[in-house]
Amino acid sequence: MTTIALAPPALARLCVLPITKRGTVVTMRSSSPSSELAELLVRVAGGDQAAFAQFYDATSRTVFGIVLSVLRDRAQSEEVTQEAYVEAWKSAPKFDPRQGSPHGWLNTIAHRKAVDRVRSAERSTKREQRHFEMEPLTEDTSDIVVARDEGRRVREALLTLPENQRTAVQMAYFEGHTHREVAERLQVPLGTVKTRIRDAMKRLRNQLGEVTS
Amino acid sequence: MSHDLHSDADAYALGALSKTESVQFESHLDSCVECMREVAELREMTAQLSQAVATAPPAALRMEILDQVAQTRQEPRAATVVAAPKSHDESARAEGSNVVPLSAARSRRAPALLAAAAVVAALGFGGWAWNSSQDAQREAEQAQLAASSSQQQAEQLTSLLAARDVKAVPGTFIHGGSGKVVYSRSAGVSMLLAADLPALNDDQVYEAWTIKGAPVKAGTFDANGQTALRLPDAALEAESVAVTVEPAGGSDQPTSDAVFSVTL
Repeated sequence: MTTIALAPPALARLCVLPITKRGTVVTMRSSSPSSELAELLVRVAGGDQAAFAQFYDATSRTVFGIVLSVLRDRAQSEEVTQEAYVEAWKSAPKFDPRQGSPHGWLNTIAHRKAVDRVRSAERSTKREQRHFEMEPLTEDTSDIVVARDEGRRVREALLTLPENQRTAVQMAYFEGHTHREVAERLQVPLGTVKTRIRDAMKRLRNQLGEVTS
Repeated sequence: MSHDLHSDADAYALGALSKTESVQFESHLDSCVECMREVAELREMTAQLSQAVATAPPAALRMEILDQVAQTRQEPRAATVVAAPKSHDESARAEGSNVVPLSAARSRRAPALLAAAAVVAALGFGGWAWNSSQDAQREAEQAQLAASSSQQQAEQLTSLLAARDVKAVPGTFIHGGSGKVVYSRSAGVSMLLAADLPALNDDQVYEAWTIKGAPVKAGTFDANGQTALRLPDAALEAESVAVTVEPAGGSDQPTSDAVFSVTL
């Protein structure tokens, strides 16, 4: 079951704010253009820590968000987010732009770490079963409001998926289950899950293929 | 029952394969350009998916991360390596002739393999049958044979050479062949290079051990030409590295005397 609260227009506009007293630097959009990020990453690869700080600021919402989505636990999510960024720092010199964008690279690092953590955790404790709930468009205002144009686009695209496909993607990607686990929980054959995932990804690529960046 | 590995690309990109399935898929990926492209594209999309759940982390996390990063060493870039000169002369390495710049590109394996061959030759490893009539392609192929997971091994070898504290400890195998443990603590890599080993029976295998007090298993290999075996991290702290001949599949503890042993 997914619920979305309609956003009041005020929150939907683009916000650009100066540095606050807490020193949180604001990015203009929820996702920086890939070229800016690529430039930062080149500097990071050279050991530039100021560039790394900017890189963090430009990406931390997405990283923390996906880690939290998989782990559910805030304390662990902070730890894993930290591990992901430290690994990004360490392996930045090896980043090869021919393999993909900085977004894709960083997201893979973070998602992998979250999945590794949650799967090793569930060997000992039972895993919290919660239906994926999409974050409502009304965001908590304890932090700077940043336009989430990109996020909304993706959420809308997810909503256009047939429910079977959306559930498969939510359980596999946003909750970090293996496709086998998804099959077990949904009581369907593994092949069915594989097909649903593949079809979902195809649709999403068609919808989201044109990225403005 | 085998299945079509191509079909795992989506699940792989979503992180939805088990550890075993991932390893299987990754070795498929190593040689399937189509899947490489597919996975790369899918990863761009999953990065977008993550935006759907973007959430601000606590402000304090930023400083913690930046503090840790300030104390964390980055991993070395791909090194620039001198290609194997016509003679074995190790000093030619310093001349800078035939410098082979390395890229980290996973999709272009040949340069990395050439580099691996060059690294091994540059280490002056006498057991390797490099001779002046071998051209670069054959060297690359030999390095590929030597490095069982070639791309990964090639990068490990090159990071070894790039390390300031790389050490090589040579030794001989009792029944023929030579070996060397090459390691660097700063790179965090230790490898066993071996060549000209006598062939074993079908039901036997060479097995490496790291020894600190007691032997701990460190990987198995065959006598196929040249070997470049990545040793587990325990090798970096071990007192010695040894090799025994074990039954195929390896053993948890040595069942025979060492045929090779070097003190680190």
